[in-house]
Amino acid sequence: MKKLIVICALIVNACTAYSLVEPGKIDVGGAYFVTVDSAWSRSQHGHIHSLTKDGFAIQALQLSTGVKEKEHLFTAPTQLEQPPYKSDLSLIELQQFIHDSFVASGAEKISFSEIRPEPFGAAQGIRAEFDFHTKSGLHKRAIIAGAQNDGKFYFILYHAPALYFFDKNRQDAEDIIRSVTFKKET
Amino acid sequence: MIFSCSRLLCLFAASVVISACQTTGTSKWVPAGSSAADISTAENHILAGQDAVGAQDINFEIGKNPYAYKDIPPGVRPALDTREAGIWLQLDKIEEKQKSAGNRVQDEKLNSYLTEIACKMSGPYCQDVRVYTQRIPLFNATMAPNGMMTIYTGFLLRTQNEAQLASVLGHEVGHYIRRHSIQGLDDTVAKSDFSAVFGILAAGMGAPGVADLMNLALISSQFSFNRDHEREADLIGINLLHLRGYDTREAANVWKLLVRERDPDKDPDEVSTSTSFSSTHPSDGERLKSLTAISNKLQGPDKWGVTNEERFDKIVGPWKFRFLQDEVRLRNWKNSLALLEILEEYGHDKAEIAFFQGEIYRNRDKKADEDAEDEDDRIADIDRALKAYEKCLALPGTPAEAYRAAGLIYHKKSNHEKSRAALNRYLQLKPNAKDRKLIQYMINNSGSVSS
Repeated sequence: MKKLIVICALIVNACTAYSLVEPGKIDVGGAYFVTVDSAWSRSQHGHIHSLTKDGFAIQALQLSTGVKEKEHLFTAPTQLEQPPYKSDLSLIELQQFIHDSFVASGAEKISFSEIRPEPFGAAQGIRAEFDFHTKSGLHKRAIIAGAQNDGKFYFILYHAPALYFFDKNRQDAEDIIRSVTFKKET
Repeated sequence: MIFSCSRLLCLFAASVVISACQTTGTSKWVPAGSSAADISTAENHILAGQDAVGAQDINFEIGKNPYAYKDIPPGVRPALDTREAGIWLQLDKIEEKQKSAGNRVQDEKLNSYLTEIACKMSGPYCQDVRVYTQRIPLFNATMAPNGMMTIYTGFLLRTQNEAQLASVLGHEVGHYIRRHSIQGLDDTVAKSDFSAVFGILAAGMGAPGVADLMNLALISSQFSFNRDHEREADLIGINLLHLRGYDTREAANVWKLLVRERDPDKDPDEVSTSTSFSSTHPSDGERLKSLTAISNKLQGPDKWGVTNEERFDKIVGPWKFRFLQDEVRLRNWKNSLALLEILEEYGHDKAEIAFFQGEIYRNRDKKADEDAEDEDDRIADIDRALKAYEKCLALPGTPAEAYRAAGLIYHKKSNHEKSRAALNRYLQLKPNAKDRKLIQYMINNSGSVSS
């Protein structure tokens, strides 16, 4: 009986953790808006709202509602200690912060192909594209775009296996990143 | 409680099999039923007929007859109908994953070198040992029962010459030959079985608390058993080191340097040799002391072997910059600074040392405490970092990254002219830098808030 209760609880929990995001303008935790053109599944953990179409093991679009001073880029526990965010980082240091956070999360062989300054909403920010391998050797590719605003680091991260899946929803991710509008801009 | 303790023993057994060991080992072919004291006279595939030091020659407190297993012969896998073969098959699967692991270092030159040294130390077991290098910034090397040896890059960073490398690889080879993993597993299963039966009997007699005490004693003896394996592996490792003509003092030096790094305020020679009952390995102090004693027995003042420092530097040296980058990301500031001091003593490039000191201070970013009594605490890390970077820039062989880092510090200190000059220099040295556009943006906007 106890097992049955535990299984039911897990099923209920699993169901409530996800919600459907319909196409249209969505509010990302009160921080900014983005526009999505197709349906996604959504879950939330700390300051990160995650969207996926095929499951988080396949691809994930993570939208942060803002990393505060001393907080970490990733909300889930990581292999190594993540660097704490500091609100006075230059764009170069911001890139290092992202890189070191990924290393702490267990990403291996991180290789940036492009890093450039780029507006995120109305704020001057950073955009980087990079490859990495998971611990088990899966080759993944990622795009991260973000900016510092009001002492917080807001970002959107898209990552998926480099083979097929990254390209499959890359354009969706790019469109969503371009659609960012901070609430104060509206 | 009884159940949880039994489970603890089982978990321990699993970890023994999978993780095998952490650096150092020994080995010999000891017929079943012989004692540890026979180690220097038993048939041994490597040490037979050689000038070896045995357990009786030093003051190891090895338990009574814990090593009642025959060594695995060279080129042999366990028979398929044995439990040991099942464990090997499981590890073969893990090894398959290891081959494509994301953190595996695939550099042919480095791997060939490490395999060569492992092979040299393994002798007739060369064909049985496969080396995998993993980009993990921790001091460790492991040996699985099926011959899968894993070397962490954090260990390579802390190794200063080939003799030190060989001493640890010899230790790992010892674990393989002596079948320590399977011995540990069998010991754990036996103790777990005993614990379960004892628990039932104790509960039946109305004294369940006695079973808890017994379980604690069993767990303690399990750790002790593991420590003895490590001691035996140390013994084999240093004997092999001697037989292959290396300077045996370097086996102790591995631990001496580690002690210095882990506790920079202590004199390594005065570090405690006592070991906690729950330690899986002998203390660093004990290993330092015992390996020094064995070394003195094996090689006299006029017959120290070679260290092959030059060859080691040629192959492993170029990797150390990357390993140090990994080290800084561990955020173990005090230990990393101590490690840099050690590397400097061993002749590591001074510009790189200064650069990484700067990196540590820049990342630690401790603010100055104006009211502190200690003068050192009144200095902000940003100033320490700048001093280290400036020292680096004045030395030959400055890494390009030092100019970028200095540029960042100058920028924070609103010295925009110097910031631009340093960042421009970085771009000159690294014209294809991936962060070129960011750097250029920063140069163009130096002085504005958004840069």
